[in-house]
Amino acid sequence: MNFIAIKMLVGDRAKYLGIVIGLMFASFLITQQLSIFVGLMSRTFSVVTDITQPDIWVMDPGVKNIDDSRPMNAQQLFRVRAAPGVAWAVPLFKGSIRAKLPNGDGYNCTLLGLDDESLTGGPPELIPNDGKTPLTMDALRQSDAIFVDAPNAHEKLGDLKAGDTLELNDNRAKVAGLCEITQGFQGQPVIYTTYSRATKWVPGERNQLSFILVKSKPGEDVAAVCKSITAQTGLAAITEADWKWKSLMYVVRNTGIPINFGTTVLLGFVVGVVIAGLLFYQFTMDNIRHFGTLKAMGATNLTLVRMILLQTFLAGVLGYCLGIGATTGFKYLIAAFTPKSQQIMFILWQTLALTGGAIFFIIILASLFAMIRVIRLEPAIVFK
Amino acid sequence: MTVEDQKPQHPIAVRCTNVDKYYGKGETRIQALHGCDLEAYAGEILMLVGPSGCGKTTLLSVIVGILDIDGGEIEVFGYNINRMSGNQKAKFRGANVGFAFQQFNLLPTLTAAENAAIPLLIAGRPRKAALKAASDTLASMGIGDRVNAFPKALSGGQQQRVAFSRALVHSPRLIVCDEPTSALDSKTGETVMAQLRAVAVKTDRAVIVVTHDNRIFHHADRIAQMEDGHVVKVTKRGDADHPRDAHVL
Repeated sequence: MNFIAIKMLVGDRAKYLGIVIGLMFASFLITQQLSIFVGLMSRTFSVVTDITQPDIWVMDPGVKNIDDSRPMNAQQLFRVRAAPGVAWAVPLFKGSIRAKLPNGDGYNCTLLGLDDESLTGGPPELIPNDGKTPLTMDALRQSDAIFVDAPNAHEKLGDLKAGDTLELNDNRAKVAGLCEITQGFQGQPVIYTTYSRATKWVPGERNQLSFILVKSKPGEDVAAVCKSITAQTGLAAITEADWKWKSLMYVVRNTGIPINFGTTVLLGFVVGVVIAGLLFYQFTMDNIRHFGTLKAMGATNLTLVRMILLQTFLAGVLGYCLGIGATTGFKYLIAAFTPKSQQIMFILWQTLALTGGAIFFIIILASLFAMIRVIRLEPAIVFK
Repeated sequence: MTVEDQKPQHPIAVRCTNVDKYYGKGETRIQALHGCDLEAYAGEILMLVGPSGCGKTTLLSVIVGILDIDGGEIEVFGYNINRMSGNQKAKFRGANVGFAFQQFNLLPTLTAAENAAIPLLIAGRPRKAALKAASDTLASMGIGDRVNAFPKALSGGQQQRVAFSRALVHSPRLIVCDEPTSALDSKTGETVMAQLRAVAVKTDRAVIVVTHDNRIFHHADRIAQMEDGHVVKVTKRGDADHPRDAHVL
């Protein structure tokens, strides 16, 4: 009976296409919006993503997210280093500084100051200045040296190149190279320099130690090391994964972003239910006499329900795949026409699974009324 | 002539005893069948005739179990169909009953062979074997060259032959036809009924035809006349009052 079900469905091309397009639209809207949301949210902890060496971040207990700075006393670094289970601990400055361009324009930038000795916390990828010779972190040891994230150096800072100079809060900074980073939530240019230089350039507060980056000793339980640091210093010590989650949840709880995206995702779901549901019910009603004929000729309710589920499942799989394809196409289309820094779609397998679940739910809802109608159908309709 | 004289030598296929059937509830409730009695025998074509609204189609529907009765008993080949569950009735129909409808009820997206194969597919026969059997049946009905045609490409007579093929393909013991010729011109109606008679009538099979069409009465072995929800008269071929044309009714 499966092929009869399929031929019934595809034989009514207008409704079949309508159902598939409705499901495709729902699949596209849900996947696309969720992927943008995921991409946007991943930017809330981009600094943590890029700094891969430490496994623990230490900060003032009042800090709420990565962009929230509550500087600590410099002495805290030594107390952390003395905590059990700590292999090494280095300072990280994170602040904001105004860059003045040669043409007089100004731009607020994120300034990251890395430990002078180890330069721990640098960008994930340095771009060779001549396109060939690898650029190393040691370039940051040159006088007044900075690294600038490449997309923003081109788009917002007057197409800066290696060797150019920049005025940072009335201090001369020389671009030692450009780097690729994970773009941040705020979209500001990110500038890397040494800790001592950063604390000198940013006008001061008495305390300037933003974060302490910690690596636990091999074999140590990271959560236990976090507890020992907190017990010893009174500071918040958080694993990398927890820190990302904390930063993300702060944005989720304190902005309307999830509601905005959630509304659009819900809209996609509702559109899918309404279009697919109505068209499929109409399709069933158009074929009700044929279902009645099958029922009269001996098809059981179970057989007819299986036929309906097969029809909706087929339309659902097709609509889902087309929607995912459209989302992927959209992602590459956007990538072709926008700078890398503005590309924020992350299509995760979890998003695909969630969309698949939503489409499955839609087709179940869409077929529910049709199934009820067919189950209640009196086969005597065939004689009317 | 006694009732015993009228009975042919074949076994009883269908026996309706004092069957009642109501439609609606409360003040709108109407009685469609009033203590209706009828017997149909294997090896014959029995026609149910009578004016519109007399209960012909209702009686046909309750005989095959697509409507439930409100009183009486119906036996089809010894099975008490009104005591079966919905699924049991469906399976019984699938195995034992072939249908032909006034509007043919062919699925427009299926070919002639696929339409004719439906009862076999419902029974779980593999698709290839079902299509082969359907094609053979279509050939026996004289449209073996149209097995791959869709219904809209077929004439009314050809569509009814496909419908008859669908009714015959699984070798059911009971074939029911509702106004099988009313959508056909007289010549085509005569031809398809002749083919139905030639192919369908067997000693172990009963054919019940509901019709208004007096042009096909001569194909009947017996004719049961209905009025106001019950059978008022049954005549057989050869009887003086056997209604062979419209003037009798």
